[in-house]
Amino acid sequence: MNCEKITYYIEKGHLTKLKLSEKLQVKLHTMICNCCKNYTPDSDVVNHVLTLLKEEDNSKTLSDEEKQSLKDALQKLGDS
Amino acid sequence: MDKLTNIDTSEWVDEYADMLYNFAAVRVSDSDLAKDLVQDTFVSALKGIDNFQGKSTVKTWLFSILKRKIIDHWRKQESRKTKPMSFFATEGAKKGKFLETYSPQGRLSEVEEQLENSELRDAITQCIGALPPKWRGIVVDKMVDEKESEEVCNNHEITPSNLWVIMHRAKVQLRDCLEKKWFA
Repeated sequence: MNCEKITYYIEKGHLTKLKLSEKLQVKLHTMICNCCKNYTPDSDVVNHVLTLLKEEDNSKTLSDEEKQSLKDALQKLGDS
Repeated sequence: MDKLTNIDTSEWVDEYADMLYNFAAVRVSDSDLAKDLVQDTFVSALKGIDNFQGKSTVKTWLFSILKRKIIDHWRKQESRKTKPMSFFATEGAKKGKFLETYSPQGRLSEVEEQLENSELRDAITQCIGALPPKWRGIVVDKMVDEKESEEVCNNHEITPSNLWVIMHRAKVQLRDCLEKKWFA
């Protein structure tokens, strides 16, 4: 059985409506294949972890020197 | 007017530079490039100050410029490929050995529950960094910013079926990456 195709349908199903035949293939295949059955909850976890990146996160900072050179460059531009 | 502008730009940097930098860093996965985009954003903002009529906040305005620049970067980067889908043959999940070398255990949620959000973010950031560069922006655009597929296709100049294939490849690789990290 083709796990590559089945996981493709699972992911495609997150993005668009699957055809009936595709849905059926996923249903039947995940009944007999543990890998693909396990893939679905894992895929949901990946989706959720990805959304965490949306939160405003200001953990990285530019150095004071970088900020100063930015300010200088902008000042020059503003004066000209 | 000049004097006012000068004061404003220094304040912009103090107030918004880190915010813009973090936003860009997630979306381009390259810190030097992210810094360049922040600088370009401020420069464009200053040049276009006459167009800013205070209809939105300065923050919103700066972010809208930065978002535009990120999309321009994606397009420039992605238009360099001559055969749009040629990278599938060589990159991403290996053909033939699919799901065999690393079979999903369905246990990612166990770890997810135990980790702090910041740890989860670090893990996924590293895994995104391991994706082929062309996929990174597409994954972030679709999954982090949760844009409509049509808009993502438009931003990256790909077709819907390109998007499905790329998202599948990327998700398989991200899942593998997290499992290896957490259960190796």
